Amino acid sequence: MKNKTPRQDRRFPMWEIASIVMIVIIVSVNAFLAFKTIADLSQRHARVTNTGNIIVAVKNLHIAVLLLESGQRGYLLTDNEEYLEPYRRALDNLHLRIRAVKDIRTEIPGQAQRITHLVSLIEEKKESLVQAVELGIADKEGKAMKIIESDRGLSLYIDIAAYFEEIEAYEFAWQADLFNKVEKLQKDSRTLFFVFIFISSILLSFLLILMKKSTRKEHNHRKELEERAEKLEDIVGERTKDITLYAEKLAYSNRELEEFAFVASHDLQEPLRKIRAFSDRVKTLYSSQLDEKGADYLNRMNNAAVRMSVLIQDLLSFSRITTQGGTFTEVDLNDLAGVVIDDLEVAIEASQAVIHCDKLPIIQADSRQISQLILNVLSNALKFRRETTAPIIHITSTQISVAENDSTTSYYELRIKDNGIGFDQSYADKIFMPFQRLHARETYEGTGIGLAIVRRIIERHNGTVTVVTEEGIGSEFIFRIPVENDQIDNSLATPIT
Amino acid sequence: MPSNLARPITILMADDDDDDRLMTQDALEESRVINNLHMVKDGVELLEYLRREGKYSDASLCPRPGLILLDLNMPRMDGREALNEIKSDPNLKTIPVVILTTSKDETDKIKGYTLGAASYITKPVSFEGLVELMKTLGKYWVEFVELPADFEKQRY
Repeated sequence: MKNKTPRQDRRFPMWEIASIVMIVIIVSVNAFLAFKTIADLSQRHARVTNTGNIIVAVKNLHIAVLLLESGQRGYLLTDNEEYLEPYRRALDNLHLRIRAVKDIRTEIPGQAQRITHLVSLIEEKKESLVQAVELGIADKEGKAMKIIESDRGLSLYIDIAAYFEEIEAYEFAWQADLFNKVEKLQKDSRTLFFVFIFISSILLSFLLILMKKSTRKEHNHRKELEERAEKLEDIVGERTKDITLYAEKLAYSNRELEEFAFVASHDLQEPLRKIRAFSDRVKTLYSSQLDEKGADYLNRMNNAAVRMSVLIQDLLSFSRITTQGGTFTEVDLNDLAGVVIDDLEVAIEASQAVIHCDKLPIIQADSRQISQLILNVLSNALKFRRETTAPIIHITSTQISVAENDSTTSYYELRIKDNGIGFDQSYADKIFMPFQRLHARETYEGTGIGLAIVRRIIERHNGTVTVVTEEGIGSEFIFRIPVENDQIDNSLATPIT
Repeated sequence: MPSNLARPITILMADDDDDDRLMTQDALEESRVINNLHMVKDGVELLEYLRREGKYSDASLCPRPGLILLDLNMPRMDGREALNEIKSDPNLKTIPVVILTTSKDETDKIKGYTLGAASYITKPVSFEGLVELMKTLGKYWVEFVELPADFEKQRY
């Protein structure tokens, strides 16, 4: 399964964050520039206004001077006291205008000095004008002086006019310059705004595309996962179907096996019955005509038939461990052991055996089969006892953990230890094979299927059995069964009796 | 008091197994049950005997049985089929049939009783057992069970 690198899968990849940051920066810069431009423009506007005001003030001053002069001339020419009124008004006005011009704040270098100089000239002019009027008022004889004053006044006036022109020219030039600058600033900032807006829109669309791409990527991702999940579901469905089919086949096969085993054992038993029956008849009807040897042969024949009958029964039991295994339930081993020990009461008494049984766990198992298992092992322990020692049997249990593959599994470990005749450890595997015996038939009876049944039972329970033994000392059978044990019932639906 | 004490019962046994027939005969002798035992090998012969057909046409040699011991597994016609035939035939259905078989199958038991067998018995394993069975059968069917008076001659 492909594994995407974590970086690609992060919700907000690096470049998206970078783009967002960049846009934020640009927008802030934009805003900052906007404010700055507005401030700039206001300032320049103020300066332009100022220049205008200066020009107006200077012009007003000019007008005031002219008014004064014309007022003076008016009186002096007419000698009419009525013309003194406009003269005096013009004089007040001039004072006003001089004060206004003195208040001027000009940016133009040198302009201030010019203004000062102009003002002093005007003051001079004013004085001469005033003087002339005073003379006129005082004395009509001073008329000749007025003419002289007029000449002097003219040169003064030329100077003043020149200054006015110069000052105004400078202010106009400054104003024009300011206007140009403002226009340029407006044009520049407009261009800059457009550029920034353009870049921002590009970045924004870029970001939108990115976001769209990433959502689509996520969407595709999710779809892919969904598809994969669906495929997995399908596969699981298939597997489940396969397993169910297999389980059905297994159950069917088990049923067939059981039917065969039952019929085979039944058909095999039948001739044996006849052999036993007829050999009995011979013994009964012809005992007088049989010598010792004849009777002995007959007995051996009968015994052989009996043995075969038992063998067939054992085989059938052996096969039924699988074909007629029950489902696992909660089984209290203490109860089970108790019942088996009760069943073996006679043999236990006969051998004067002592059985020590610890507290045993509750396991998940087929209770009938585990009973069989315990019965077989205990029967063996009682059968294969030492001649001169009463059997002492210990049944103990613990819980262990075993590491398997990638996990640990818990097992119950059950130990059944005896002090019987034991055997060589090298036969430890052999004794669990069907019909394997370590002793002659005459010494110990039995078909040799007991332990084969035991092993088959424990293996059906997903467990194991091992034996630790020593000749003349005894044997210890060690069983392991999983704590968690489930078993599908693959036995037959209807048991054959 | 049983009325037919003096008369020996005719037992008709149907079994394909030679040894089983021999043993049953021996066991009946051992049991000292007074009887008249006839044997047939399979269902076909059984019906031929009962209907006095083929080699069984001479009625004097093939008396009507008071009891049929029927094995189930036989060639040509098995016990189940034969039982069905007997119990469907108005002339024959009154004859008590005791199934004597090795089969322990539940289905066979159910079928046997459904078809009208009087009893279902599993063949004993040992000879002694067989003798015991014959004694018991004899005591029951001969001493205690009553048959109609003109049983031999019954015809519809």
